[in-house]
Amino acid sequence: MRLEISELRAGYGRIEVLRGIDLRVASGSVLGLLGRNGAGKTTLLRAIMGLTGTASGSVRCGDREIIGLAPHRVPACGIAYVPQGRRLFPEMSVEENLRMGLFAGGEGDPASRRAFALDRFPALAARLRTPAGRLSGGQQQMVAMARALATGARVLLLDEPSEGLQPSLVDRILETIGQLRADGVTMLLVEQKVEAALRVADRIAFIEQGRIREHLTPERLARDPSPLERYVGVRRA
Amino acid sequence: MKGGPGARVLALHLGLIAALFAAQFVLGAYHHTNLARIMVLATYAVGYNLLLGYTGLMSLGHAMFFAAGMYGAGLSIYYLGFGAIPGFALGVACALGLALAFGAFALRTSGVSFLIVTMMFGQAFYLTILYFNQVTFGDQGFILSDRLPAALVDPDVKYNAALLVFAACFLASAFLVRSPFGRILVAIRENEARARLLGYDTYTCKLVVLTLSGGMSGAAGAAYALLFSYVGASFAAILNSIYPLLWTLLGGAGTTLGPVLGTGLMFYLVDFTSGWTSAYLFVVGGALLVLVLFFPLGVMGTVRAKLAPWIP
Repeated sequence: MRLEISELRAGYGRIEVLRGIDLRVASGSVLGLLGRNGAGKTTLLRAIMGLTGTASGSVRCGDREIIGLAPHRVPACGIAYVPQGRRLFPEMSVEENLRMGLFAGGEGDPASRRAFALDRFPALAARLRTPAGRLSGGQQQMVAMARALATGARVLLLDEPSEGLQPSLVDRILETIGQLRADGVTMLLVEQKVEAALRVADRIAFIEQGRIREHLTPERLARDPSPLERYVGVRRA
Repeated sequence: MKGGPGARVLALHLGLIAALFAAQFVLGAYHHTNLARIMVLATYAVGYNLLLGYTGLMSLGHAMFFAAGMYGAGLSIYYLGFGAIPGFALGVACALGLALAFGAFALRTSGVSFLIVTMMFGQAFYLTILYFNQVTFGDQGFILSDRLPAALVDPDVKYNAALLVFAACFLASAFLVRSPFGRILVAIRENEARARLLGYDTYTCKLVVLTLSGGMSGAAGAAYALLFSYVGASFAAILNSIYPLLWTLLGGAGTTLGPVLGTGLMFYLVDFTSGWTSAYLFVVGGALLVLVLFFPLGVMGTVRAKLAPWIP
C-alpha cells in the first residue's frame, strides 16, 4: 500500500509548521525522513494521523484520502503510528497491549494478525504476561511495533524507533524493519540517528522549515554526503 | 469467562452472591436490614466504579443519576399509580436517558473540567428538585409504603430484591470489564490519545460507559425508593455523589469487588462510630486516612497487587 502526500499544510493553532509537503512512499518501501529538531518531522506524522487540528492538502493511503478524518478513523485505512517514546499501556500485559491492536479490527482475521506480529518479534512470546511498563526500552519498542502490526496496518509511521536503545537493540529493530519491508509493509521512518536511517531506507527525504528540500537514495548520499551536513549538521568522510 | 483465570473469576463472583444469599438465614434482623441497604448502595458504587475505576473519569454528580432513578420510580408510583416493577423500570430508564443526554454534553470536556461539569449538573439537578417542591416534596421527601405491594414490607422480600438488583449489576460489571470493551475502557484510562490512535472512538466508548454507569446508579436509586419506601432530595445532594467515590477508593477502584467491600466497610464504620460519638465523621476521616496510607490502591487493589493478580 503506497502513501502519497501532496501540498500538505498543517500546524498548531495559527502557527504553520508544514508548508506544503510533497512525498511519495512506494508500496513495500522505507522512506527515511531526516531533519533538524523543529524541522517538522513529528508534526508530519501527527498531521497524517489527524492530530494537528487544521490540515490542508492531500494524504492518500492506498486509494483512500485520509485528510479530514477523525484520528480514530485513520487506522481503519491501514495506517498505524508508532510514536516516539512508545506510549504503551503500562499496566496492561504485553498480551493485552497486543489485543488492543487486535480489537481495533483491521483487515485479516485477528489470529493471523497476532501470529504475524509475534512472528516478527519472537522475543515477546516469552513476555506475554509481563506488564508492558516493566519491560526494557527495546522490548517496549517491540511491543509498540507489534501492536501497530496487530491492527492489520500495511503502512507504519515510525517516530524515532531507535531512541534511547543500546546499539545491539537498534540492530534488532532495524533488522525487523528490513523484514517488514520484505513482507510488503510500507514505512515512513523519522530518525535522529542518521546511520540507522541510511541502513534501512530505500530513499531519504530531508525536511527543513516545514518543506521537503531534497529527496534521494542512500547510494547517492554515499557519493555526495553534503545534504547531510546541510540539513542535519552531520559531516561524513 | 473461559479457561483457568476465567473460571476462578466466575467462581469468586458467584461465590460472593451465594454468600450474600446464605447470609440472610444466619443474620439477625438488624444486620439483615443493614445488608439489604448495603447491597443497594453497593449497586450504586459498582456503577460508579465503571466510570472512575475502569475509565478514569471522576464524577461528582452521580447523585443525579441515583436520584433520577429514585424519583423516576417514586413519582410514577406516587402520582401515576405504577406498580413496583413498572416504577423500577421507569426509574432506570430515566437514569439511562439522563446519563446519555448529560454524557453527550459533558464528555466534550475531560479531567478537572469534567469533574466540575458533573458537579455543576449534579447541583443543578438537586436545586431543580428543591425548586419543584410542590411535586417532589423537596427536602422533606415522601414515603411510598402505602402505595407499594404489601409483600415489599417483608424483610426477606426486601433482602432478596436487593440481592437480585445487586447481583445483576455486579455480574454485568464483571462481564463488561473482562470483555474487549472493558479492555478498551482500561486503555482509555491509561492513555486516551493512544487508544484513539489505535482506532477506537473513545468519545463513544466513554458515552456508553457513562450511560451504563448512570443506569446502574439509577437502578440503585429506584431500588432504594421501592425497598425503603422513601424518596427525598437529600439523595441528590453532593454528599451522595461523594459517598460512592469514597466507597470505591476505599475498596479499590478498578476492581469489581472493591466497591462492594468499600460500601460495606464504610457503612459499618459510620454505623459503629455514630453509636459512640456525634463527631463520627471525624473518626471516619481518621480511619480513611489510615487506610489510604497503608492501602493506597484500596483494599482489593492491594490484594490484587500483592496476592491475586487474576482478580478483575
